[in-house]
Amino acid sequence: MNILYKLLLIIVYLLSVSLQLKAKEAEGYEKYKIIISNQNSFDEQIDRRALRGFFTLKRSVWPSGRAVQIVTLNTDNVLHRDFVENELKLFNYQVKRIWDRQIFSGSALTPIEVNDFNELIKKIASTPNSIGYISQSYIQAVNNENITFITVK
Amino acid sequence: MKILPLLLLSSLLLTLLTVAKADNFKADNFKIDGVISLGYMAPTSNHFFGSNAGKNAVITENSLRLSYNFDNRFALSSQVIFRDAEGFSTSGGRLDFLQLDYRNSVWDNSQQTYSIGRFKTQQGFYNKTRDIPFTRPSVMLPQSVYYESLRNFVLSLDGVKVNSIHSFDTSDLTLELGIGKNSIDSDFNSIIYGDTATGSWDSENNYYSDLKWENQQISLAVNYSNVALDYNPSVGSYLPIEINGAIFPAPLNEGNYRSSIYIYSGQYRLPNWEFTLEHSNFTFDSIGFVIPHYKRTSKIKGTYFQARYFLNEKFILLARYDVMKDISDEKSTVKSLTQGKDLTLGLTWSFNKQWQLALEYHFIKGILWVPPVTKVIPVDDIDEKWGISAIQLSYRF
Repeated sequence: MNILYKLLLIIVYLLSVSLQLKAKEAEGYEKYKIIISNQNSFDEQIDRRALRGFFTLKRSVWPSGRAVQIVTLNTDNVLHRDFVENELKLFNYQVKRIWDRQIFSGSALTPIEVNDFNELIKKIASTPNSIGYISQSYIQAVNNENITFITVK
Repeated sequence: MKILPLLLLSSLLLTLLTVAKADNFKADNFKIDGVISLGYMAPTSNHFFGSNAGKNAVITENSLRLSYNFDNRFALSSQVIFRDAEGFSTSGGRLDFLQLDYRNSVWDNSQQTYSIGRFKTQQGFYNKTRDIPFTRPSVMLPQSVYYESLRNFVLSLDGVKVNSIHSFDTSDLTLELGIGKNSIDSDFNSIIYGDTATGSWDSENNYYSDLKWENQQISLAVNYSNVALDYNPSVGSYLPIEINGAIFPAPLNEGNYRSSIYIYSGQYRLPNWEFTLEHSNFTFDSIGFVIPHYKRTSKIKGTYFQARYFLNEKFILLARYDVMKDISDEKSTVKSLTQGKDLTLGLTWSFNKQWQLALEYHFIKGILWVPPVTKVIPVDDIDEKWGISAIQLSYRF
């Protein structure tokens, strides 16, 4: 019981630190826009919890029942890291590990990784049921009628 | 009952082939990927890979995964693993999982997945993908929780599983329940008792439950597994027993293993640091085998603490202290047989997204981890203080 008691104390301490960190977090900011392919029958808004679920591969179907295909920048790209940390509120290495665990246990499809936002836009437009993200500066580059912007609530 | 899983697996494979040939087959929904790896482990003594294996071992872990998502909430996935780890795994291919999933959402911000077929057992942070180098923190997992000799108890189940994930503002809560029969490697006998212990194994219906909460900084999980296996000896099966320096063949009878396993897991993360603490409680009943109907209860506890430092995107440093103790017989004076302590220092180098090299050294005290077959036949060079060096190169596609 001794070791379990010590473990419990450590957990309580870490939880309290974690809550304090959360309270000190900066307010969210809209640096990225979420885009989906038009083949999805989906609302124009997505809950932030669902967004995190899709991009961590823990949620794998749209409300319509169709399988979600994630399209992202390469996981080593600083912009992808920025998206993970500031939009999903997770660490990049944490998301990589969750992806591997989901993929190699048969729970999810491998995400499609691309080199830049131009490639990401093309991939979203040509891949049914896909979802990705672009930075605000690329909004004007999206002139493809197969793509819809959705906002995060 | 052995025929039912085979029929189920065959029907799932036929379904996949039929879908692949259908006019509405969608290439975007079909994925093939895998891992190839080659490693080398060199214990300084103690026949870690079993009494009949050489002292050192070349380890190969290769996997091929296929998955297909249908447009109606169903998904089919399978993985075959080719793992050769000297005394610990069969060198042939093994069907790691073949499962049909149905996914829906009963509550807002949740997803439920119902699986049938062969699926991986959820246990601790690393068991579900323990044979995939890219998902492990080190070449060898901490033995206090991921005991290599008993891997067959926790690899996968042929049965049904339900997974439910609930998302909150900044965290997720996941519950998973699985029930089915264990799939036992053909080399399980030789791992536990040596090549003279021939026979077959049957699994009863076993089950596990897992509850996990996770946010950016913290993961907490508790897991319970119940495993029951039955042994049927072949004619002539025996176990060499050492009595007063002489070896006698003890005929093997029918036997049963009954095991309850609790695992408590915690992890704390910072931008460049990850701290992991896991604790295990094994209660293990062995009934029969040498003495008919004789029951022996073993209780083993284990704890490890692990720190990983992410130097940059390419290098990860690891330090881990791992302690495992057999507390079945508190009066035993032979400490080296009843404990294993391991200080591990390691480095993982990711050249790029596809390639990874892992190196580590284990400073070990005690021989609790060596396979039971080695401890049944004492060998002259059993050392209380020993070590293992390991290196593994892996490629993913």
